[in-house]
Amino acid sequence: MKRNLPIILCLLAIPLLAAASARGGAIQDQEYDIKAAFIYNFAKFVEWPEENEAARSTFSIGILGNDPFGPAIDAAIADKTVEGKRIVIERFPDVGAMRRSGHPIDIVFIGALSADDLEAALEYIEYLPVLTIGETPDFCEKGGIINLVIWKNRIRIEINRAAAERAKLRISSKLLQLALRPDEKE
Amino acid sequence: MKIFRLCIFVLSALAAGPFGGLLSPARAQSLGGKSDLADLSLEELMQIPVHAASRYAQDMSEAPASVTIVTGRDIEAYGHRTLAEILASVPGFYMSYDRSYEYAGMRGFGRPGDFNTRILVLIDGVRTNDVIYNSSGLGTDFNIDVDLIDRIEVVRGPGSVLYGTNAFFAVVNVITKTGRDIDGGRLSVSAASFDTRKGSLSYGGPLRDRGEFLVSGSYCASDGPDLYFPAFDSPATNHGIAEGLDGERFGSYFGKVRYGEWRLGLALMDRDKSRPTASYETIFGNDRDKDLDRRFTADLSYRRELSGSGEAAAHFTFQDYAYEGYYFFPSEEDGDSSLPTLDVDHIRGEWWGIEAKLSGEIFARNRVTGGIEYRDNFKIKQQNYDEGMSVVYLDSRNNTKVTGVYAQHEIRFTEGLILNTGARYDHAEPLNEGNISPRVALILKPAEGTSLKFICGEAFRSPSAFELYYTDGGFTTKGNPDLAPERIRTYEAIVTRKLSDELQGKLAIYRYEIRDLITQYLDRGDSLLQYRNVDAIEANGFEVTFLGKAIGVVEGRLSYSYADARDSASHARLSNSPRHLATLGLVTPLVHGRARAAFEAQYVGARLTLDGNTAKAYAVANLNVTAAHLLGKLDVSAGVRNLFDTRYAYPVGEEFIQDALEADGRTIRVKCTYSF
Repeated sequence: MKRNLPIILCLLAIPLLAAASARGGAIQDQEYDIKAAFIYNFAKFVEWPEENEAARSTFSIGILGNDPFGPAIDAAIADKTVEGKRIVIERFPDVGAMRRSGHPIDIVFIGALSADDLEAALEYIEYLPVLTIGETPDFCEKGGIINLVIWKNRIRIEINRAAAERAKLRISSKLLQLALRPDEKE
Repeated sequence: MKIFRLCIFVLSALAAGPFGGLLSPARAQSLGGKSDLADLSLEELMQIPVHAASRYAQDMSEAPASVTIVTGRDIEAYGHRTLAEILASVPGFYMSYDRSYEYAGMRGFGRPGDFNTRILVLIDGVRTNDVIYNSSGLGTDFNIDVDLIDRIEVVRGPGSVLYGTNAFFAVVNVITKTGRDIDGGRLSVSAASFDTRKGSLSYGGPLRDRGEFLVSGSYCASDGPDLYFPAFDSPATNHGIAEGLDGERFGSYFGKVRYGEWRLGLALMDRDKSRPTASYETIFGNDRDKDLDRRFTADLSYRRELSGSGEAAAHFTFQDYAYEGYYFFPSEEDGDSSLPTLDVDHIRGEWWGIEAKLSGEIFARNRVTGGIEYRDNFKIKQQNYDEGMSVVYLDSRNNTKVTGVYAQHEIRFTEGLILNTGARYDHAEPLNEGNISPRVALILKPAEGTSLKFICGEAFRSPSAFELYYTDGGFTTKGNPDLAPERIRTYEAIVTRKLSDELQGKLAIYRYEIRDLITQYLDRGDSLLQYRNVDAIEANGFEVTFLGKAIGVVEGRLSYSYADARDSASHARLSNSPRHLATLGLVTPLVHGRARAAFEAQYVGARLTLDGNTAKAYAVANLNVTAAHLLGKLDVSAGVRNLFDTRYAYPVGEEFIQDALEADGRTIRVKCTYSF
């Protein structure tokens, strides 16, 4: 077995080299498999402005900051499309990286960012036609559009309609009906 | 070797992936159960119960102890194969291996000759330390396959206040995965150094809408390394070389069903391990020296949430432990080792236990937990005889009954000030032994992200049946029926502070005072080993741990522990007690999060051996790479342990001629898991 060791070490080294472009990390949990499914579902109930749609063959989902999904989200949406467009996932360590990439993004999931970074990110994205999805308690108060909250051990959603209007997104009434109502929270 | 070649092939495919486009999103296939979630409607998604990931972490900040959580995800990333490998990465722990069993040391205490009696191991909340040696198998003889572990809560400090005997230095609570975690089938094969091959098959999923089930089996065979023992380096004993004497085979089978509030768990482990070390003065180089261990556990439990965050829980358990040891001694008459005498240890322990526990808020801000436990250790059988029972040296049969009652009260004066007090009383028959174990903890949270804990507690350990009664007719060991329980008092202060959004620091400072410590002694008069209540020991130390993320994506932990454990009377340092321990662990995502690389390093300072020599300080590093969902359903894990082929040795007990045994050098493992 010892003879094979150099080969093994070389093979191990290759993925390490590929790490140069690595993004993201993860806490793998059923919670995030479900949240990934939510995000895919939202694409069906939101309309993006026409000009944003022109001449693009892909539908882009960005993950900003810490990536809690891991590879599961790539696999889960691999064979799915949004209005015939292939879905691509992009990961950005911070809002600067997202800005620098210059790629058009349709949905951005904002994971655990510090309060300051979250505000900076939302400020930058606010007037872009991007559906912002978060999971921090005051995400909607800070200007995010959809917040995934855990309510009685179930995942529910909060929606900030004003923020959606600013981003020129139309959210279907069906999705609005599913949002957690303020009276439910009491 | 075929499996090994297959693994190499798969590994090559993995390595080619980033370049060959094998892993591009368009080609990656769906994930079975998980991709189906995306096909559910939002209404359906809203019906799936989830447990917030932060829940355990929250509890830990108020737990009256220093706690480390190891998740199944960590175990997978680092490629840990045994509980011993997992514990070696936990701050404050260090391991020893004598080629029969793995032994855990903690905070400067790892008494040679102690069979892990001072660490209580629970599986899904049920005690598993056996009734003969009071031990639990931490190596390949652990009750379940480590791939079935969802998470481990390692609670440092005395836990007798809730669990009674054995919870002396720490409680290790292993929580197994559920059927929903597996959700489908998993077939796993692995190959490792020393011709080690292992296979396992698991299947689980939901059971109607109120339950879930999981069944799993695994089997491993290993030829083991050829070893060199300088102590036996003479022409008569093959120049100290033990060829093909370190092999083992083990299998484990696990089943778990939950339906509503009820849960039934069954686990069986069976191991056959050759003993290459000629311990207990057996003949060196004999390929029939063996240790056979079998552990069976069954537990039926009921758990129900009550209004006002209360909980009612009860469980019934039946467990069976069997050990068979084969020892070949030179024949009495002529001392000719070509005609050896086979001496057999035949050990069997069976017990059942029942426990009921109730907790809830009685007044506002007052939380009370109370419980009662009864264990009937109805069969404690220790036999030692020559082959065919031609001569019987020992035929000891005992039974003991233990009753314990405990209560714990938590009062929350303000959100930032909690007082936690508790006590447990244990009574053991027929020795008529009573033990009280109190604990007081004050927990302060002066600011968001900062907590301070002050803990003072006492714990005990009753002598094991082995320590009390085992005697083999004047060959190696004699019993000591007069042994009394050993006791410990601890004082600990813990500061936990969030240093940034992604980094947490923890400092624990402690003082341990032990009296009547049960220690293995070599009686110089008759050259027999015996356990005695002789030592009083004091230990002072601290641990610093950092946990969090660096450069955004690398998850890591870094710890340093200092322990100074000394005999109270002579102030001599203890054997197998490293003063310095350090651990480093880093996990980084690779290839856009589709793979992970995990690196860990452990430093263990110099330890004294029983002969007063020094087992030198060492640092070992391990590297493991995992890739998930290759070609849709294949996970691959490949790793190297002891990356730099460091040579080091573990101090061992009085039963060895050697005072330290060398550890394995560099080893590799490749594992492939197919989900269906």
